[in-house]
Amino acid sequence: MAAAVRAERVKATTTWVWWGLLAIALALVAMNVGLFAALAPADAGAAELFPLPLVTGVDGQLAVVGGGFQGGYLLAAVLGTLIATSDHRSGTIAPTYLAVPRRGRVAVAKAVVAGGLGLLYGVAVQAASLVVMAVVLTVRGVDLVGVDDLARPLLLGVLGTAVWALIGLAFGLLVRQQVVALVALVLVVFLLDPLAGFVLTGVGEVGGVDLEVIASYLLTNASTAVVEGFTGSELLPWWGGLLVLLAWAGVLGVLGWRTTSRRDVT
Amino acid sequence: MQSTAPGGRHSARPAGGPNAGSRILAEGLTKRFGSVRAVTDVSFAVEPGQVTGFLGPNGAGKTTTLRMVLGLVRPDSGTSTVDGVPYRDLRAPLGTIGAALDGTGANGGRTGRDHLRWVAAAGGLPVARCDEVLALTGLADAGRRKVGGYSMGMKQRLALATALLGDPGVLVLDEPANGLDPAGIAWLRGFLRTLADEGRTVLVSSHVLSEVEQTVDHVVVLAAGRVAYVGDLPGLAGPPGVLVDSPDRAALTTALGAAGLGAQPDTGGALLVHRGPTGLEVTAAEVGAAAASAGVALSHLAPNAQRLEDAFLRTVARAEGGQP
Repeated sequence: MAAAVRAERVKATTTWVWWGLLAIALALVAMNVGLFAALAPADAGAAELFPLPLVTGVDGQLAVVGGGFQGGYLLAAVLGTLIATSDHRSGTIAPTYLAVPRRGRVAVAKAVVAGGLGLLYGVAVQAASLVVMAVVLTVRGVDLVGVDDLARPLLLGVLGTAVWALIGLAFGLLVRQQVVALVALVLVVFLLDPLAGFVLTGVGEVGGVDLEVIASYLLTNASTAVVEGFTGSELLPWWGGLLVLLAWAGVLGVLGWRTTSRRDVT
Repeated sequence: MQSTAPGGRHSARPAGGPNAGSRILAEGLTKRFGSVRAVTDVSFAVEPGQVTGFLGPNGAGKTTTLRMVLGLVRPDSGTSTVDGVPYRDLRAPLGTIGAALDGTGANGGRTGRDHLRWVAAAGGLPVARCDEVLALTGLADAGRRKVGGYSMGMKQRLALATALLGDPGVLVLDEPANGLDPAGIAWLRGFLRTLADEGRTVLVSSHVLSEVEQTVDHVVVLAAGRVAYVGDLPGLAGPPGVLVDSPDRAALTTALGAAGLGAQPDTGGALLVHRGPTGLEVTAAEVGAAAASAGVALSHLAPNAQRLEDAFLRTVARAEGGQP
């Protein structure tokens, strides 16, 4: 098992993919957090224009760093998908299974490496988010709230990013064709999931069932809950959000594993 | 299990040593892809100390069969083992059997050495081994360049280097001569010979008989997904024939018949002469004498140099025609 993990680690770190995606993630962070921190309202008058929590308070600053988390987890998910699919795209799947014929070990090794790199992405992204926000707010003359108030969401964002790498990996195991998997991932993350949340929240209650509760179990809302970010709808507590993300990774991972374990490598 | 090199050949390693090969055994392998019967009831054994050719035209099922042997494709029925163990249950696969499949199996964005590094890691092998196999396959200078910039021949060498990483006793090479220039093919022949002489089991597939003809000791011919022939090359070729032709073909055929010789049109257009059902050798002198005694003028008379290729093509055609 250790050998399989080492192989996947060497594989994942000997192409440009891991640092290229990390660079894109950090660029997204700088843009998202920078803009958000610059535009977030600092007084009640500005809040009428931008209906967001005041950036002078804890909620406001959490909303700002949460924008960085979103960019980070998308790229971590892309990394996970690429770790799962690039073997099929480049033909390295045959030597992989020749060296490690137990395919379960290969899948677990990929999960370990994707999770590990996800943690690294999380640390880099959350640290960058904090730094960018601090710089912009300092320029605006807004004081940073105490580190105690930001610490938990920032650290949970690191964990959340790692779980998103696993979700991306599961996507890749399930779909296998790299381009299709990536398109599906981006479509779900950017369009289908937020849209579903928007519709469910908008409809509200149907036949005694509160659809807003269902919406809180979607990927986007669960992620926002993890970092206690800002959204217009009801969210799970942070631990609930993390469990929901883990559950998504688990369910998708089992489905992906079932499709990949017996498939012929031709 | 016999693991000595064939008699008379020098063996670079003691028989039964660490690199003595194991036997590959395929029994009744059958695989369908949808409605396509790719491989049907294929059985054969590959013995240590020899180079075994796995021959057949494109689409004969060679690659599918090899992938079943290597545990990459799950057979619908039948089994395959290396030293009695199915591939998926091998404890140290890379140290037991090395495979180079058609297509390199390397990511173009990685250097050749990095490719070997991850495979070595997966097999629990030391990094130093990567440089050894690079040198062994003539890639020492190319190891730190990206595989995407390799020529076809270099990619084949990298695939071979990958197969050799674990210093396995068994080698399975799918079309290793594809993309090699004549010098590369000559190098490959010598390389395979050395590996077999060390007592290893070598199975090498090809769709071109002439590529492996000088190298193989034993052949398995596959056609239309079935085994068409198993045995040595002389057995595949049959007794050598003589090619003969005359402007008066009818008179020639009659003259040959009178001398107790049979003849049939050859793929090249001339008549291929053989000695009826006895299978004994026919000489050009004999054929010339038979024609002369009947007063038939000849336009062509030569030993059949192409007989092996012809026999191969005939064997394949017969199998594809569904005849026994």
